[in-house]
Amino acid sequence: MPNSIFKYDSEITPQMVKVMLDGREISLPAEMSVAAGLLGQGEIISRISPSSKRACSPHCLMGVCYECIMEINGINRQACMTKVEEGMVINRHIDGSDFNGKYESTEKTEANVNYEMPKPLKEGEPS
Amino acid sequence: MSRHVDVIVVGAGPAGLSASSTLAEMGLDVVTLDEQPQLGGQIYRNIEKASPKSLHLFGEDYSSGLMIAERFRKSGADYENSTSVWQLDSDGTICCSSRAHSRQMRANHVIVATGAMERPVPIPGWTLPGVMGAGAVNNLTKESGLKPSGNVVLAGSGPLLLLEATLLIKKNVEIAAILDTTPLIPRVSAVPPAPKALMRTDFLLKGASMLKSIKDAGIPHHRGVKDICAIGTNCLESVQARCGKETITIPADLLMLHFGVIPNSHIFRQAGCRMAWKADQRYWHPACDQWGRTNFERIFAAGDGAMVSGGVSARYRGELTALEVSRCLGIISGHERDALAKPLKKALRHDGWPRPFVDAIYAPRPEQFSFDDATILCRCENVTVKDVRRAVREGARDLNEIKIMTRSGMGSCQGRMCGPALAEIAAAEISLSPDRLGLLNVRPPLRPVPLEEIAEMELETAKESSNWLLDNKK
Ligand code: FES
Repeated sequence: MPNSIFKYDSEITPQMVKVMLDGREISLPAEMSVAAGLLGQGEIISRISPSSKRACSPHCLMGVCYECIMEINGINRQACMTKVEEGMVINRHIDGSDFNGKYESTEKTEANVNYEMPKPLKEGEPS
Repeated sequence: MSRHVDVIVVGAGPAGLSASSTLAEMGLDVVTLDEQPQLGGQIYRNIEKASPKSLHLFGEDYSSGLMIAERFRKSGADYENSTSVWQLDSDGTICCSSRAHSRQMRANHVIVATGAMERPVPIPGWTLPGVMGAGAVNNLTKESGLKPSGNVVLAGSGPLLLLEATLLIKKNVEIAAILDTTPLIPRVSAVPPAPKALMRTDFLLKGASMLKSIKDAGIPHHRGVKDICAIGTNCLESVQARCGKETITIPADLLMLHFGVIPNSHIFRQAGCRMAWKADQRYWHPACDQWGRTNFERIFAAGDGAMVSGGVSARYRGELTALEVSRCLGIISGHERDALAKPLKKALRHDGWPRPFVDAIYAPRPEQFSFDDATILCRCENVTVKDVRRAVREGARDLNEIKIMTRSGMGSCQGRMCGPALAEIAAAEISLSPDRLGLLNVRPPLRPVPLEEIAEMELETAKESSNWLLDNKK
């Protein structure tokens, strides 16, 4: 189990709400993102990468890297862009169990896989 | 039904907020869409709920956001948080998703102020849990009052790396080491802009005090470091780097990486805006004029998303763009626009004096990134540097070709994390400049959107769009 790499500033006493994490009930601070809430609880693993099958942790905390994707209330979402809510059901599937909720994905659509010959791009000013 | 407004502003950081405020104050119908739950962008993250302590810690660079946020709230602009724009068309139509609902909106003008992101630079082991962007840690502090504990190592290059170090020092976080990859000998190009930077003593003092606080705290600050490597089995255990002839190993629980910032340009690329390559900083940005007008009449770029120059400048540039947009809409005349722009341009110049100097000192150099064959380049699809090199050797000469061959850039992040390094690696293989290899195509949806959401969308007119999903909806 990795070390807890974050702690709260002593002065901050966040208001806690109950959520389900991987089938067990835990308390997370309301008013912050799921990713931040979990990091504060020492839960640094966000998911198992479907491609490398290795554990990931959130990398950017600003919605760019998609390393924080978790199943939240049945939908795969970016935990760093989702606020903690009372009663949320979060599943990270870090024990290797398969995700069986709805998939939220961009990459598998034909539109994204279709290959077009690229147009050459040149530096220039707009006309 | 799709809504029609005067102006849609995408992003609620300094540029987006100022542009929105300026336009809404003129009585225009403005909608500001932001994907984050709270306004402020990255620099003013969580500003409206910031504790006095946090305001004090981050200083004026942060607290100045209060004024900007307040002005925006009063301006009458319509603000929608947690709303991701997933498609932008050159005619001013956007598709966005919020609260599990997607819709279309149209505007006479769209101002895109999507800000900047940290330049992702793959190093061996950077996928290990415990390796994060320095900006991510900064966000956690602003948003959640979290601070790192355990052994913390900072690595990379750029003023923000040192700034982050000083913030951590103020928070009594023990930093095990700073591994600075900035070359020891500054570039010759740093010399001509130096005198201008000297005119901003406030700025120089800030730099000096940052270095002093690092020194006073007794933090080992290694310079001219190369070959940083994150080591661990299931999570980060130590960081290794080469420092001159020596190899140093530091036990670490958290490695914060920072290699400068680049524009967040996916949306421009998806819309088909003409992109330009900034050779000294090695990034792509939308080609635009001084007002932020792109090659599309209706689409403007403002702030760091147009070109990186920091939060203060972003605010002014947001306002300049707003002035031009209001001129286009017939609210003010060209003369009025120029008169209003004058003080802004002056402030912008003043803010910008040190920029060329700083940029030259921290300019990314290709030789700085010695990518190792085994390093994972594309985190989403687990593609290594070697895979890319092989594709190039097999004859691929365009990033999209390499993408098809290796899957690098095909994952959920759509090449946001691997794109810049992919170009560097492939270009180095054939000794070309990265811009000669084109750009990864970006297609809608820019953000993952469930198909049901798209299916439920009401579209006003069946228009030929670039989106396969929308075109095939019936
Ligand atoms: S941590 Fe990068 S997208 Fe959430």
